[in-house]
Amino acid sequence: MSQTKPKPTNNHIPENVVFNIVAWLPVKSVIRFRCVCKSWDSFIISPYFISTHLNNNNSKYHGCFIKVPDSFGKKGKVCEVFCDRTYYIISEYPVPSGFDRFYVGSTSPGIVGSCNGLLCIPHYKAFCVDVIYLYNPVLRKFKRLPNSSFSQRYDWIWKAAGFGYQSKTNDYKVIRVYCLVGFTKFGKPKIKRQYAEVYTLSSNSWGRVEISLRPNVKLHGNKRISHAIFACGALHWLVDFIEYEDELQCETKILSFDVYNEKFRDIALPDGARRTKHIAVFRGKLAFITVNYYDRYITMWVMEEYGEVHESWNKLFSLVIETGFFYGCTRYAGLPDALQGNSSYVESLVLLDEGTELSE
Amino acid sequence: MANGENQNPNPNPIEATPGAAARTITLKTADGEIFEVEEAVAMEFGTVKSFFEDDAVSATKPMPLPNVSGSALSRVITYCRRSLEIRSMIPPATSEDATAAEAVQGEGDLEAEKAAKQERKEFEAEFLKDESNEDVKELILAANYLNIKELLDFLCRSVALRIQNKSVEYARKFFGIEGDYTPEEEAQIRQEYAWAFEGVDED
Repeated sequence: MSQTKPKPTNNHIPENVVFNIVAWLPVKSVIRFRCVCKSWDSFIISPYFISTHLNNNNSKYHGCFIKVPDSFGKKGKVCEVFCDRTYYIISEYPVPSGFDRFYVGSTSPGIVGSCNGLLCIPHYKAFCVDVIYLYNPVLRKFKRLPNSSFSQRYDWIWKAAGFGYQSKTNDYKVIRVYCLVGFTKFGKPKIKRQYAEVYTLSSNSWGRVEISLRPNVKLHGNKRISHAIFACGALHWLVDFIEYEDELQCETKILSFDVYNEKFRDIALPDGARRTKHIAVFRGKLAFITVNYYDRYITMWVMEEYGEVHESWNKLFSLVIETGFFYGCTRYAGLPDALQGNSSYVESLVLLDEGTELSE
Repeated sequence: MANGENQNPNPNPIEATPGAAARTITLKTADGEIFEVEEAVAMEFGTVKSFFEDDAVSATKPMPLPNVSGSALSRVITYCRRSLEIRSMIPPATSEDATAAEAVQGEGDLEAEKAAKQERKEFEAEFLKDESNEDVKELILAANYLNIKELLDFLCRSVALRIQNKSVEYARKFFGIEGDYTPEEEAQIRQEYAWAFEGVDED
């Protein structure tokens, strides 16, 4: 039976199918294949391709975390990506040499946040933010954010920062919150001023944002420098809400900043939350964790339905733990000490279409 | 009964109800082969589905598929049959969506879904194992013409796996593309992204 079968006359794979094939390739291959021809290069750097590729990567890879080196000053520093189930290192990316100069002499409180393969890396000098970078480790590309008009002063006590993704416009935002705290003559904290500013990637600029909570409410962070947890389209910090009515009232709540409409609001914590508190993302939901160091157990709540109308905390479990320290959450509620709370990671092409700024 | 003399033996057709004959649809390929396919399988093909949803068309005449060869159609049918079988392993209340978040499910459902995932993984690993690049491309063109989203998606992922460690030249050959960069332009890309060109398979 050796009939010659007529082959279809057009043996070329159509463009939309080519697009779909390339969108399943790892970042390294996509970058290499920019060389194939100019029309490939042109669709690869398009925002639609970058989003499609990211979606595919999100469905392929689950639960990876990235660890950035403590200081970028030394040669040979690498970012390590590891799997949250086995903690095996699955990728390493050398840090580009342009980063060498900026991390000298400062301690690193870690990355501000990680969204869609983009890391927000602050450079702190004496607890003030000196410079902020957006960094895509797999692409070896980074972007230095412009300075804002707000001047850095050491007496602004609580500094908070957050990095979030705005899905409606496919944009990225960085927020910085400052509170100037003084003390009354009785030693009670008295907040003089608070100030917030937001950087938007698409306009490459900073803008001031009102902290529009109830008029008397002032904010005081639990930590010296606080980095937000990004979940459900908003950035979250654990904050003491201090209200001056007849008397000073202080309640710890979650401060939330909606990345889309740039509005602040507060979220009450579940009852009985007395011990050391943390917030995290657990399987895509906002999670609240308390640690009882003495009896060595942790309790976790998650917010099942997010949004002002039906919000409520659902207590998931209490776990006995060996070590008393909480660093962050994996999908399996793992608590490795190598984990920084904001560092979940997926390889992406975000920032590919932006110019790299390698030196200052 | 499915015809296809030179092809791999087809697995048994699915019966809609035990004992009753399943409704079949007749397809005729570019090289004149006739295939009788169970309706459930044929309706996986978007082009066939819209063809028969038109009331004026009768199901007795064979539907012509001028862009698809007999060998390609045979493999496509094999894939769709198996895919339907695997999907029927999952109870209807749960949807098999590979990208869905882990929802709260009953224990039995979860087990069934896991088993189905494993079956699909093994089946897909075997399906293209011995196919040449030319055969895979022929399948892609067939799946695209027949508008079978699931198969096309699987083929795209598979091709991506095949070429991900290959050189730029290999990719050009595979897709039949002529490079249009000047040597200087190409050298510049290779230098700026040198890390992307390391560890590539030899051609």
